[in-house]
Amino acid sequence: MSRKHFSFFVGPSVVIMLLLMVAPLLAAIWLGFQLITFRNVTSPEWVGLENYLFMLGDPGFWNALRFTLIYIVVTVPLQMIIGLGVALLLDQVSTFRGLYIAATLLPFIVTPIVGTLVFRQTFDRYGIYPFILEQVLGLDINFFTTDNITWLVIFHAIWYVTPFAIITLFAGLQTVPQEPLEAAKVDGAGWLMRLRHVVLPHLRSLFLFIALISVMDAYRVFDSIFVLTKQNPIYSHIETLMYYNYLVAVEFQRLGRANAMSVLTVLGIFIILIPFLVISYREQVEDR
Amino acid sequence: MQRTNSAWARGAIHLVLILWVIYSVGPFIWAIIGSTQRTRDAIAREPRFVPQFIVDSPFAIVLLIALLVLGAAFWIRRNAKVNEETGVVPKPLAWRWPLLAILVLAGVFLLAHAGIDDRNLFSGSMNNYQELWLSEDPAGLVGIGFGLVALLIILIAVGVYARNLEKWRTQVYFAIAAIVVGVILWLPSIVQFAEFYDYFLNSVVVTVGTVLISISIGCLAGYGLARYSGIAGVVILFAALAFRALPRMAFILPYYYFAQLSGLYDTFPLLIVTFVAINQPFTIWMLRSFFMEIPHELEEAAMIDGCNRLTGFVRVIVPIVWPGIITTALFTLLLAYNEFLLARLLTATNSTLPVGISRYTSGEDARLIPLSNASAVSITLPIVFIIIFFQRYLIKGLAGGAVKG
Repeated sequence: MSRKHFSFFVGPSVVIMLLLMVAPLLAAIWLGFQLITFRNVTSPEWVGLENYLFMLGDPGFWNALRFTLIYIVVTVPLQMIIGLGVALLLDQVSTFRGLYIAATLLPFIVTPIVGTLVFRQTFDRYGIYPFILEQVLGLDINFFTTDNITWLVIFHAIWYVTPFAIITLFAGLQTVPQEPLEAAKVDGAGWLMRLRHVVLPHLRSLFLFIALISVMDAYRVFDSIFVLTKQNPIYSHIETLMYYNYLVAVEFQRLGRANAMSVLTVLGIFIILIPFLVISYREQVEDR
Repeated sequence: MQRTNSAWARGAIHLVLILWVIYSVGPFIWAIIGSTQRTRDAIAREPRFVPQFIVDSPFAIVLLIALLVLGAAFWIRRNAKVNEETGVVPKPLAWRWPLLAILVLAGVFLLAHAGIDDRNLFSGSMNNYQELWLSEDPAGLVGIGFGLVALLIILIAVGVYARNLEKWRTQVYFAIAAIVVGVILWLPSIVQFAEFYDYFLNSVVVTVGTVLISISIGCLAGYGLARYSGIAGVVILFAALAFRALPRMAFILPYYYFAQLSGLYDTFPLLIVTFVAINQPFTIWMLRSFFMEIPHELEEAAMIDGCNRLTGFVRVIVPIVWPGIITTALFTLLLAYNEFLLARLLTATNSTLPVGISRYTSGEDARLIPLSNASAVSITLPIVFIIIFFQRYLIKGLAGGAVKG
């Protein structure tokens, strides 16, 4: 394909991305230097580095960063372990497999804000789970206390993000070559050994892919926190970066500070992604 | 991995999977039950597990069981395997009998209710949906309701038959989609709907617009990137991947700022264009991977036969990649329909459904629980319908290791 044809085909897409992704990103850096509220949107006032310094000194920002990192560190491995477990089980059955997959996909396709709402209501005061816990186990658990809500966030993450890992890993399991498995079995390797030495190495790049995608998505989780906190400040310890950013923009009405914070979060995701880039780069080099 | 032969192990595996399914689907079942309840039942100390419409209308039980049996029959027939001993191939499903059964059931159901002096089909249990969708008394809408049910059955029947057509299948699907969208846009002129229908309309307009524009632009770019070997292609791909990683806020706040300045705030074009942009990195990566699977020789042959690059692309390549395009369109549709933050910040009155439901998320008023359940079910149903028809495309997209939206 010639260069002329290439620019014709790619042109519209690149123009859209330049206008609506690169330009806004630069604009965000510039807006971070301004004092803007919802009242003076048209007449911003240059304040220099003040917004950036304020956000760096804001305990709310560090709190949000801390919880976001905890969220990533807890949910991403959990998602991969449970995802691999369910995928292995799905691989073992053929009856009802279609139904299981369809049911698994449901939380994944549903509007996140709606899915989180119905999930929250099963755990809420008039929900089914507290009722069952009380009737069957005699436990009187309120999930909406400042301590327990952290567990609810984790339960929700399992419910909402694992389907992606399950379906991807299940598809990966279908492509595992049979000969090494047979050979390992002949050599007397047990189920666990075969899983560890044949299947998992085969799925390695898939795991990396899932980790990359889910770290990106966990870093910018917004909808589910928006619903789970009920926008109630008493749950401020489970605020994530995106949610706190939203609060700064919409609740505190400080657009300049919010822009400064979004620039800082952009820097943060690149720092987090460095290990992934290094691993991918090393694999590229090893392949050659 | 090899399958286990032990019956106990298989039973245990099924048990765990069923528990997982309950965990996945449970909240939605609970929302469906809750959406039919009156407020005092929904917030009772002892929850009621039986949906209110079954309590209210015994006929609903018959209809429900009949539908379940029909569904099971369908499912068993569809998954029937060739008998290895006798070599008997199961006949493909005869759709007309189940369809006829559904028609008869629906007819009986409507007749049964027409004879009773009862304006609401499920005598009260649909109150929440009524309150959510309608702002007029439903008594005068029975005729329209019957008409819509009839239209729906006809469309489903046509759609099902179109699956066996060789030639006109895609055109028939497009016609069905056009009719559905047309009816949705036309209905407000004869029925007084509540605010929720406006959100629904906005969602339909924005989603359809986003999918059409995003896929058109994305196809061109994906094809160009799949076929061009220069360094510019690699740069664009990796820039797109970096954009995919960025938190949305970094784009949305400048969007908000410039929308306020330019007066585009709270308009459809702005919402559609920004959805397209946010979607673009994912779209071009996914479409590129589908175009990569097509051998070069195809369009080279087409170009020898007198096509240029563009006509060769439109006439030869696109029809082959069509399933991949549907897969990408499906993910784009989900993203546009589900996006909350962008729509929340860029609209005030012309909002989409996720913004419409967000008023229930503060959750301090227990009286709103049935209504919030009704709106959750209302938002989820269209998506579930679409996914039931296109599930294999969705799984194909996920299984391909394509980048999720």
